Amino acid sequence: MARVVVITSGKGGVGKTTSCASIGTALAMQGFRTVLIDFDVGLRNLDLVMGCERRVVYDLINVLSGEANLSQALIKDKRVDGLYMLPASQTRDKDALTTEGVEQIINELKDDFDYILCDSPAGIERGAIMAMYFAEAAVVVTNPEVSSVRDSDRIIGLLDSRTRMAEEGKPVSAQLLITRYDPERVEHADMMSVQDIEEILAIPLVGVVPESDAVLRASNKGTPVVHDKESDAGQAYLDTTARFLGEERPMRFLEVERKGFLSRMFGGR
Amino acid sequence: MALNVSGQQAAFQFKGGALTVTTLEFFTADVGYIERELEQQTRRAPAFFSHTPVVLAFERLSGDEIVSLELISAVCKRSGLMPIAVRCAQDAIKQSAWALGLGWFPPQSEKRLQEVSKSRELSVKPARIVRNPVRSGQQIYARDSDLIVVGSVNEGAEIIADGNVHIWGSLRGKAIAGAQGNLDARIFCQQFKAELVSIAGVFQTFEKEEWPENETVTEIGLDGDNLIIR
Repeated sequence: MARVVVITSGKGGVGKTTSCASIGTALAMQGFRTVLIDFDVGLRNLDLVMGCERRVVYDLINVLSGEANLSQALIKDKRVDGLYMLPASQTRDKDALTTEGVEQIINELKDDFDYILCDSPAGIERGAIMAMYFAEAAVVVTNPEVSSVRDSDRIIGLLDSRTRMAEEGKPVSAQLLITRYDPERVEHADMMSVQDIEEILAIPLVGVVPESDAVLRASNKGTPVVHDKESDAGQAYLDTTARFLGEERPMRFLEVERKGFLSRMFGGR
Repeated sequence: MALNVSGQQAAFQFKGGALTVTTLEFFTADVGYIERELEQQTRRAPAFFSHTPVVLAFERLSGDEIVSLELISAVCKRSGLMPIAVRCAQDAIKQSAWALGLGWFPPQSEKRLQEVSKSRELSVKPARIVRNPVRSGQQIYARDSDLIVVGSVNEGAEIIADGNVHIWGSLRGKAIAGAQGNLDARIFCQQFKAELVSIAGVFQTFEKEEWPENETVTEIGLDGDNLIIR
């Protein structure tokens, strides 16, 4: 039976889709059959980050309205076995999502997969609520800045009240993923520290992904950054996924890298 | 209000009221036994027994016990007590009470006793307790009671109580105590980083620079029209 996980944040542009693509890919690499659902109806992005935008024929809304069946809409990833995605519609809007329709799709997917990752749109409107409603677990993506932290706080509150689990009196297990972390700017007090964010949001930390050029490079190429195993961000997502699966790993990329004499002489940044 | 048609001073006035009266509750109808115990008690506290009006209560006795009210009343009078009425369910006792010029009260039923104790418990309304952090966009109201938050109140969250507000973590959002106008209401928190606090309608907003420097337990109360933060 699959575990339904929502990747959410409240604020836009913090790295939900990037995180969804990378965590999903890493789960599939570990041998778990994984499907990613893009709930950002009208502004779909996950297909771009996964590099399968040219293979989108049918989408989530087509399946919901009975114009296509699930197997026609699911797109198989070319790089990793057991990884699929269900794209959002670009031409419709979020009002096309119905609770019953989404439930039916998720139930159908549950038989076939180990993990169902729901990529939430920004905001707290219908799309975001639909993405979280059936989730048993949540990864809350937050940037180290006050507005992102406040929006995440709001989203955690909604996870505790607007999900089916909450309605049944059970907690949704929410974990914190901090992205775009820049230790140097934290040191200069331009950015909130991991401790500050943890204190405010009061949910367990599952990972810290450093600010990295590799992320933008990977998005533009349509290859989830976790494939770039040399990059700090790629490694951070592998760590994050391992922790998500219950493994204990120390947090990395929290300290400023002290550049040695040679790298200061010959390049670096 | 007394109806005074003639313009004369009224001769009297009936007033209802609850007086505190000592009740003498009997566990036995044995007059000899009662007399011996009363004598002992009289010797111990003679002042208490002199001319103290008492209600003689017989509810604790089983219904078929024969009570000689006349003798019991006489025994009480000898000890200095002044029986004014009886309280019982038995019709026989009621009749002899009236014959002796004593008043009669209906028995206090178990149910009524329970109701009294229940209503007494409810007069102190328990505090509302919130175990999770109060998050941005959430609003919690503790009607007619205190509010205890075992966690922090985050930015953009709002907590309101008619009584006091206790926060075991940091107060980063808004806290309102004494929402119905209780001037003595207070707000307590472990760390004060509030956006706004209000007590009985007197409120103040805060910029970052206005927070107390020492990050320790903070109490907010009202002194006249001013909020006192310490």
